[in-house]
Amino acid sequence: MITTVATALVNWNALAKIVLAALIGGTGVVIVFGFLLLGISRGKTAKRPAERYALFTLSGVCGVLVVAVAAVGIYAMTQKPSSNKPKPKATVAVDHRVALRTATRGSGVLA
Amino acid sequence: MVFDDSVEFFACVDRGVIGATIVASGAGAVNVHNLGQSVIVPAVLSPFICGFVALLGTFAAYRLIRMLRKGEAVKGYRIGQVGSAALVSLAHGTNDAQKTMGVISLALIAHGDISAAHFYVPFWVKIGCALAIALGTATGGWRIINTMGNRLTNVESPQGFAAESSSAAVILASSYYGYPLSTTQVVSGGVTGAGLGKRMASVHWDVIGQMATAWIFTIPSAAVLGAAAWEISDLFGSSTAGSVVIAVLSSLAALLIFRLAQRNKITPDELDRTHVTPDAEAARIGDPAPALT
Repeated sequence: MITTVATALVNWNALAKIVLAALIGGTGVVIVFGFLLLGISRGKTAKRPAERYALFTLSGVCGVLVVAVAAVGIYAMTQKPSSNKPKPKATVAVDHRVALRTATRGSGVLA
Repeated sequence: MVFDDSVEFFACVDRGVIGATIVASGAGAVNVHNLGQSVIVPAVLSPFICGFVALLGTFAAYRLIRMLRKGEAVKGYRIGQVGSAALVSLAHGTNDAQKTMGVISLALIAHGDISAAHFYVPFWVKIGCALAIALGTATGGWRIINTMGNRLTNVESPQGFAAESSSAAVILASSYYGYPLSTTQVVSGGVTGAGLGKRMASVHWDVIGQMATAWIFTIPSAAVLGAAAWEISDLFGSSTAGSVVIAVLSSLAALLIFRLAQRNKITPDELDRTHVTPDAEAARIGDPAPALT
C-alpha cells in the first residue's frame, strides 16, 4: 500500500532528474572546484615547466567546467517547460465557484 | 522557536490558499493529488536531497584540502562562494518570488482581471514581488543569517561553498519542473549536510529540531489563518471593507511580531565572527574537529 501511495504521489522521473542535477551541480562542482584549487596550488610550486603547464591547464579546464555548469543551469531556467506553455489552472485547483461566488456574492448564483 | 520568514510565507502562500478554498467551497475543491505530488512531496524531500548532496561534496572537498597548502583552501573556496552565493540568490528568485506572483495572479483571475484561458503575470506584479522580497531580505534577514551561519554548525568556506552549490542546484532543478520550495529549508538542509560531511563536525540538532517544529506548526496555522481571512471577508459581502479589515489585522499582527523580535535583536555586528579564532569558535560550539586556518 505504501508503494502504491508513493507511486501515486511521487513523480519519480522528475525526482531522479532533480537528484542527478543536484549531484552534478552540487557535489560535482565542489569536487571540480577543489581540483581547480589543487592545480593552482601545485602549479605554483612545480619545478618543471611542463608540469606547471599541465597543472595550470587542469585548473583552467576545471574553471571552464564550473562556469559551464552554472551557465547551463541558468540557460535551462530560460527554457523551462513550465514557462513555455500557458497554464490556465493553478497548481491547487480552485473551484470556479470561488470566482463566481466572488463575482456574484449575495445573488445566490452558484454553478 | 525559530521562525523563518521564507518558510512562513511559503506556508502562507499555499496553505493559506488551501484554508480559504476549503472554507469557501469545501474540501472537494482542492486537488489533493496535485497538492501532494507537486507541492508537499518536493518540499519535504528537497532539504534531504540537498543535505545528502552537500554532505558528499563537503566530504570530497576536505579530502582534496589535505593536498593543498595551508590557508589556500579557505581563500580559494571563499572566492568561489562569491559565485555560489550569487547562484543561490538567483535560485531564490526563480522559486520564492514565483509563489508570491502566483497567488496574486490567482486573485486577479478570481476577480476577472485576467482570463484563466490566457494566463499571464502582469508586469506590476513581478516588480512589486521582487521589490517586496528584496526589501524584506535587506531589512529583516539578520536573524535568519545568524541561524544559518552560526547556530546550525560551524561553517567554514569549503562547507559554505558545498552548501550553496547544492542548494542552488536543487532549487534551480525544482524550479525547472515547477515545484515550489522553501529556499531557506533547502539551504538549511545543505548547511546541515555540509556540517555532517566534515569529519566529526558537530551539528546543533536542537536548532534543527526547532526549525522543523516551526515548519510543522506553520503549515496548519497558515491554513487556519487563510480560512479565518475568508470568513472575515465573507462577513462584509462584496465590499472591499473585508479586505481592509484583513489588511489592518495583518499589519497589527506583523507589528506585534516585530516588537517581540526586537527584545532579542540581532545586529550585523554580532554576525561577524572573523575576529574569533577558529579554536575559540570550535570550543564555543563544542566542535572537536580542527578548523582550517
